[in-house]
Amino acid sequence: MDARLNFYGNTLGARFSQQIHAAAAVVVGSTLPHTTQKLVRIRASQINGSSFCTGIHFKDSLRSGETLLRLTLIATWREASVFTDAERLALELAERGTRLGTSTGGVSDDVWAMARKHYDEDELSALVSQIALINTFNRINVITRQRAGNDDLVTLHERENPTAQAT
Amino acid sequence: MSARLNFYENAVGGKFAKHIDSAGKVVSDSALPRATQNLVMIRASQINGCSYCTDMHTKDAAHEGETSVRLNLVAAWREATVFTDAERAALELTEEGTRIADSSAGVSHDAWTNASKHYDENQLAALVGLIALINTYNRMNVLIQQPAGDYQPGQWG
Repeated sequence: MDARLNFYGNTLGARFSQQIHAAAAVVVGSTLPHTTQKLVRIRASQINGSSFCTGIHFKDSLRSGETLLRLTLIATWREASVFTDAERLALELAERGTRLGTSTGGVSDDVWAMARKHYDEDELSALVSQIALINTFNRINVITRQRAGNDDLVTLHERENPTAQAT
Repeated sequence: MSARLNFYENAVGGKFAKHIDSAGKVVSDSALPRATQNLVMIRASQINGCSYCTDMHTKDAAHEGETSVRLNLVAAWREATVFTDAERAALELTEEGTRIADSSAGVSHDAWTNASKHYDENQLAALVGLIALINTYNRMNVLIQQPAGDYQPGQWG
């Protein structure tokens, strides 16, 4: 089962990827908590059915110390008691911002107003960026059927630290 | 009516958008025909309900010579006779690649195979990148409720 297209190996794909990774670095460098960034990445990837993205961000979260319980409950966060109010709002925004085609579109005024209570303008900009961007990566990987076996899911951490052992 | 967040003026949002624009340039400079690029961007923006993007890309397409008949029929292209087979393949891929949250099956074998008949590897990479990217812009603008209607072709340089 190979990917339909070696997107990242293609010259254009590689150059494109470079730019969206630069966009990702802006989010990572923001004041939006990394834990929250990772929850958003996983939730959107689950909704969009991206194996590769779900896998890689799940592994990264585990490596950063996220609990298995919280990771397990991301898919059904609404009745879960393990997320903070701020995280729940981020997850709500992530779902609404991902499901544009089916829903009434975007986020209601009430939810947005609550998000403004927990996140300042920089954090909210980072959140909007993160939601938009994980949807970018999801599409590249879903459309090209990027594989998600254990060997394929080299974590972001391992990629940046080549001497680290793959788990 | 104004946007609910000054996203593009914000330090984080502005820098983020700059890199997204650079990714866009990689695609727009590609061998994927410009007319096709416009059709893809319009169709995805319609599906995602992004006013700003629909306005911008429809006006850009018209400015670049696209006919009003074709623009009117992008939203209902399947029975339309005014698109080439290659354009239809791109529109099919756009719809499936945009609606990935609605389907557990991802993008179908048929849609991919059909696109591969009409586009070489570089054009396919551009098509994948473009579909992914317009979906990015759509989300930025829908989330902040960016007002639409005033766009003028060329205003972003």
